[in-house]
Amino acid sequence: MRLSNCLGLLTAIAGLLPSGQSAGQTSDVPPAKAKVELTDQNYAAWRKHILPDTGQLAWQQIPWETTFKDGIIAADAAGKPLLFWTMNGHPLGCT
Amino acid sequence: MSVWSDPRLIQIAKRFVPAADEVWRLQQGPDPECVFFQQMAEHGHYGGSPGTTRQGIYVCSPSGKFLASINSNSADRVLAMLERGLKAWDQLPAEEKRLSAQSEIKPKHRWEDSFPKSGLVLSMITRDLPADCDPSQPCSVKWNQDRVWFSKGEARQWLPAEPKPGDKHPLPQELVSRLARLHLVDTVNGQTSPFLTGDVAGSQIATEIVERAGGRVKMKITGTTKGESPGRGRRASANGVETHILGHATYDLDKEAFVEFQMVALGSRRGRTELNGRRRDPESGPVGFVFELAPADAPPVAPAFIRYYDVPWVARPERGNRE
Repeated sequence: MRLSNCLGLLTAIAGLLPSGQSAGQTSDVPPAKAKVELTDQNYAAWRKHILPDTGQLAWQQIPWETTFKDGIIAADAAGKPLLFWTMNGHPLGCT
Repeated sequence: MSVWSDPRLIQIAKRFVPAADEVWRLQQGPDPECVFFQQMAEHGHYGGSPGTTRQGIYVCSPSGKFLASINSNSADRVLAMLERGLKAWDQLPAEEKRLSAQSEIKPKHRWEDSFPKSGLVLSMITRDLPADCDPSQPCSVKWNQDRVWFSKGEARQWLPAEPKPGDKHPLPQELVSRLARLHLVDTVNGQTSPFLTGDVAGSQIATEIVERAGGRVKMKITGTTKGESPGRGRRASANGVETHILGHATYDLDKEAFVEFQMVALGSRRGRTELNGRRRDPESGPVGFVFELAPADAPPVAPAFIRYYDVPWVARPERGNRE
């Protein structure tokens, strides 16, 4: 069953139950897990959905050196300042 | 990624040599390259706070002189900082710009030195999925990426010794565990914690040979993974990631390499780890992953959790160096 159908059913059931909580209160019941189906039929659509588009990959137009040392040496050779981006996880691999 | 997709930043970056690197090793390692960075970054936005992160964007001279820095996702603020850096560069005496011949910056160890040239190198993209789980809905702007490494020998273990159509082959548990512990994790908002071996019990991945044409072996990949952690760290809650896997790949027995590899994992994530930025997000939600062959010209960036690979073909730093 698609999740949207599940949610519709849950919403309908919820409407029949007594409303013991007001908005903003926290439920003790763990939230329902989202359910997503992966089949041969929807595989391509999900793959396309997840992969970044051209605009999201525009940062790749910048010719990044991949280590601090390589950046320093290249900047010295080019006579330019170094623009250095550093994060937990390599920014070009995992930010 | 978004800040660097801004056309103004792409343009101004041409006036610099741009470089990117992982901060954990640089900010605390004893390696000459790390010390060179630490001395520069001490003058930056997080300077003066020993032991704290040095994440961010810096402008410095090849000599190691700090010029400007910021840690921001605002393109406007980053642009302003880069302009300040250029101004400081222009005012810097020529003799203070160049890298000194006496400067020692060559690293003793880098994880990238273990890049498996003849192995299987995958790029991974992960993204939050629409709440109604409809792939035709607009995609979330939150996504992240990583690399996945398998040695040449490990890549061969994705298929049986003498593959023929109809063969079903379980992926060795240590490879399943690596994927489930270190890669099928919730990094959509940024860094996270890996699962421990016991957290991913029951995960399984298998291939089924669907065609063999000479040395070319086509296979279908299926599986399920489940990572469950009680929550390790002060800010963590019980958390987990569950996925179903489907994929297709072609291995060339003559080239001894995968020539095609495509794998999607869809499922759900819940809870939060110490640092994965889920505090303001819903407790649970759908999440997806795509694994594909990394382009041949892609930079040899190491997986985020390479230090947990614990395999003999990955060279580790000297004892006492906590890279």
